[in-house]
Amino acid sequence: MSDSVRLVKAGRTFYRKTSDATVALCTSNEPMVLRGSARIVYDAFESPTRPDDVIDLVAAAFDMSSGEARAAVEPIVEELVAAGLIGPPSSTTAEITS
Amino acid sequence: MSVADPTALRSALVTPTLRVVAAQGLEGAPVAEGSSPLGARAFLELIGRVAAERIPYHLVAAIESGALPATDEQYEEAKRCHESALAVDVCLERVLAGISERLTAAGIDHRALKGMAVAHSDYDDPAMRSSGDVDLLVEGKHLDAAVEMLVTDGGRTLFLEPRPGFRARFEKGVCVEREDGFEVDVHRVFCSGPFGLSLVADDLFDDHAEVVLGGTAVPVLGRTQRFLHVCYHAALSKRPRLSSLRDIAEIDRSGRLNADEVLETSRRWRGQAAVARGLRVTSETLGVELDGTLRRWADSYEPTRFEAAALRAYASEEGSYARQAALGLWAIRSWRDRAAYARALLLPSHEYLRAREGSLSMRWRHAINLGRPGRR
Repeated sequence: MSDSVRLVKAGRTFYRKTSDATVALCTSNEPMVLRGSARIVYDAFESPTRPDDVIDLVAAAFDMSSGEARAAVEPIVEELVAAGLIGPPSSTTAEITS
Repeated sequence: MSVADPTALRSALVTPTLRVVAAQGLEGAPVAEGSSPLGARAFLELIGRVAAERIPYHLVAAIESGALPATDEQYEEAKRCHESALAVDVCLERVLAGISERLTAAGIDHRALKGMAVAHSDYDDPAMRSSGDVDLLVEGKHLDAAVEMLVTDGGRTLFLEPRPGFRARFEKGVCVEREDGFEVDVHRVFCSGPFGLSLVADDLFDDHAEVVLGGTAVPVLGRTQRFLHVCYHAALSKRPRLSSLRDIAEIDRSGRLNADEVLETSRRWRGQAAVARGLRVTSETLGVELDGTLRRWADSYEPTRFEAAALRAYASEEGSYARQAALGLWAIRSWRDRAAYARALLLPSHEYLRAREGSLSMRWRHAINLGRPGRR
């Protein structure tokens, strides 16, 4: 997925939150348990956002280099996209309800 | 403790530690004795009970509040247990939302019941209430169509009916096992037997609220009916889950329950004894005081003759499905319905007989035994 494409949380997501995890299910068979940085990355897509912007956000929040942040964020974004939890705005709805 | 007293029996089966967890956050909730964490084995047992009783949120909360001392490792284990339950919850929600959409498209009015309905309506956060299956209510006239829809999707029903049309007219409902392993209970009323037959099924669709699951608005019962349902469930089960008792406590303490409406509706349904017992079981098992009016009423309530006999058919030592079915005759209001009910039970289809007693003579012998005092 191109870094210039904006992504957003899927509208049809079933989720529960605890103090340190989000358990979310969209189109995949298995729910994902998102903790720590995975949860931060997921929550960054509340509105349409470019993955590069999330990398900058994570780099600033954790005092990391851009390269380190990219290495941490990209695999998470790929997993979130594969699970259907985030995607291009055209295929999702920005607002999550529960 | 009398073994015939299910309230005392249930209460005795709940260990003090489990009670600390189940009552966590309620007014007057107990705290653990001593300041040492449980040993590894005892904690493992507790985790197993907490998962089975569907109260993992409250275990985490009890540890975080200091009501239950725990090691760091135990705290992490409790959080993983809660996350596992939540993973099941979101899967069940997706199932429920999908079924609800299909029922709506087919013009079948319905209500989500129990776990997911109360999780989103009566708890501060749905993560506080975990579920194990999907429960739905449809009108009797739509029961067969709703079940047929689930069977077409690959589900299978687990029980036969005595005669065609019996379940849509007299039964509690139908359990459908889906290909993915989840169970969907399609209810016509709250329970089988006399209390299910005496309640006014039309009342269940008088009022409704909505919860939004994954963007889908799913109808649920109104608050009074939700409360009556959780009371019936707790009162008429031999061992109600602690999550069900917690449901009663949560709705009761919300301050938004109309006590007069609860009493009037349950009186019309001939089910006030079920409500009174549900409240008493909750208070005694969790070891907490419930709010005012209803609890005081429950403490002094004397069941009618019908209610006393009906209660014994469910949660007492002599309770059984067959006894509930026999007592159902007492609950049915019209003579025409009574005749149809009796005919279906005494002269069921050959297929049903083969799956049950094997022959008509065995079935009748069983029926006669049910009518004798002191026989199970």
